[in-house]
Amino acid sequence: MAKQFFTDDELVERLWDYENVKQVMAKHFYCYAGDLRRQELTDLWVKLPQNRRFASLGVNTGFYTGMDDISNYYVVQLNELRYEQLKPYCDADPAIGLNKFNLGRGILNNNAAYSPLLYIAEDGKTARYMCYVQGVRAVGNPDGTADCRFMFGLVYADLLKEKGEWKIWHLIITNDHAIPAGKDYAEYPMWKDEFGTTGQNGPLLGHVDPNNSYTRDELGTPTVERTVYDPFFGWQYLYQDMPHPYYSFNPNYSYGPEGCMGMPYYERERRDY
Amino acid sequence: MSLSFKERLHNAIGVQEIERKKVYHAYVHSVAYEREEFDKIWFKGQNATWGHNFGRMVGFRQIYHNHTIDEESRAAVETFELGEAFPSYMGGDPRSIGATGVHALSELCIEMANDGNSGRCWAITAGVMMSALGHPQGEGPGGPPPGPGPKEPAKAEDYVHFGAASWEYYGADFIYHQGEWKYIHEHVVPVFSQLFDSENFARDLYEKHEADPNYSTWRGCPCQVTDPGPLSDRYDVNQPVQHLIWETPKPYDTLDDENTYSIGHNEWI
Repeated sequence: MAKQFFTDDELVERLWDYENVKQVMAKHFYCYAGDLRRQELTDLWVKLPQNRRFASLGVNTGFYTGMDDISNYYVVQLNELRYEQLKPYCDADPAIGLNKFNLGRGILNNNAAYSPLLYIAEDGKTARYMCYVQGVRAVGNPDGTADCRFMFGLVYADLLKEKGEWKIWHLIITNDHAIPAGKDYAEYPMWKDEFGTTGQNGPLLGHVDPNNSYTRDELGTPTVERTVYDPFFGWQYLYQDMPHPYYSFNPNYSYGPEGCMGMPYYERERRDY
Repeated sequence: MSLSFKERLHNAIGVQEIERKKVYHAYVHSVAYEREEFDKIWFKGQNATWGHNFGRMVGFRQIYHNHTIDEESRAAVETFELGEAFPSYMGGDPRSIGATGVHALSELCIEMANDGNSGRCWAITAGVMMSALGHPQGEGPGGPPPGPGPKEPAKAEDYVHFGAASWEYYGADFIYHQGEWKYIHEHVVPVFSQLFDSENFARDLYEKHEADPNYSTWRGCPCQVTDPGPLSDRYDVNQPVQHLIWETPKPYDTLDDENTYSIGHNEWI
């Protein structure tokens, strides 16, 4: 046996922390699938004021920062979208009321998480988490048509131990490929690169795919706008982004807006000086 | 066998470390960061083995050569080809830019040896391979092999998106070596792969067999191996039973030829 770094009691606590972090993130995916986002923010996210102020939620195009902005985007704007999506059903059938009890009609939004990779900091106060999502998304219409996609992407999180409980502090939900069901992906329009070079079926709007209702409707306008993930380049910086063993939380390497997500590796090196 | 608290704690930590190593492998492999896998988490001895349906590499040197030197050169060539068609790819990380092939792992079956020196892991991967830029129409996985002579450079408009499912079974053995959990054996059993929503992996294969009774999914061995394949077959409509190759690990005392995913390679040399 190698020399022990932690006491037996600390090792047991760290084993338990590992399982609890996975459990918290599993509950996030449960809430995400059921549009139970208010419940998620209340139960799973940080509670202490000093942590709520620096909480963040990242999407491809930037970060929502502070619980007010997160809640506005993650809960309120989604609620408005769900009312818009319900209205055609109400117009088609007056028996269906435009009210909260019918929200989510024809909607499927499910992120299935695979391969969680996580490390508990040596100081035991924070954890870094990443997993791969193979999800599905369907937005139905009263005429029986539906926009159905297989959704792929990576989810990252910093978690914080508040009064002995693990809480989500920084969360990033990236959107990678959104492959339409029932259609050959090769026939789907290509993005164009920054030099204006397009593949087949151009012209298109940069890397934001106009046919992808996820990116069009749901990324919103983040508090801090910058590229967090660009699917055009794929997982180029995955190795730098993924969790690695660490001693203590460092905002420069967090999954919050101060962190390096989406930055080329040579820009990350500058942050050390 | 009754284990002490210390021994049980050691094995419990081992389970989490093995889970972490499997997942770490899935991610670094997805971006062709092979050196970061084999340098960091593998046992570097003669009995390290890496198997696939095409054969088994034996010894760290053979595994390392195939995965790093050969694979990384291939990735660099493909990236420069993409860069000629899409200039913003030039200067990107040639290993990781663009294409992704991630062996996403479902729940793992892990057993720890009673002697605390090894752990065994079986898993299903519901994997995907994807790329925003993909490959020129008609090329890439599933396409015909390249013909002889120099290849015409592809233009941007030739490229199409690429997205495919790729399912496999894994059997892996780990050892506790010099205070760390290390991979010693990996055996991959491919099940099927198909493009999203343009193929039916079962029916298409059946029709190929109907058209040509000698048709085979066997594509030969793409690299140097010590034990040449085929070591397993991909899914086939006509197969008599599910083709798992390996069983899930059972409770066991020590890594040996009765409890291994690589018979004959269980000494730590």
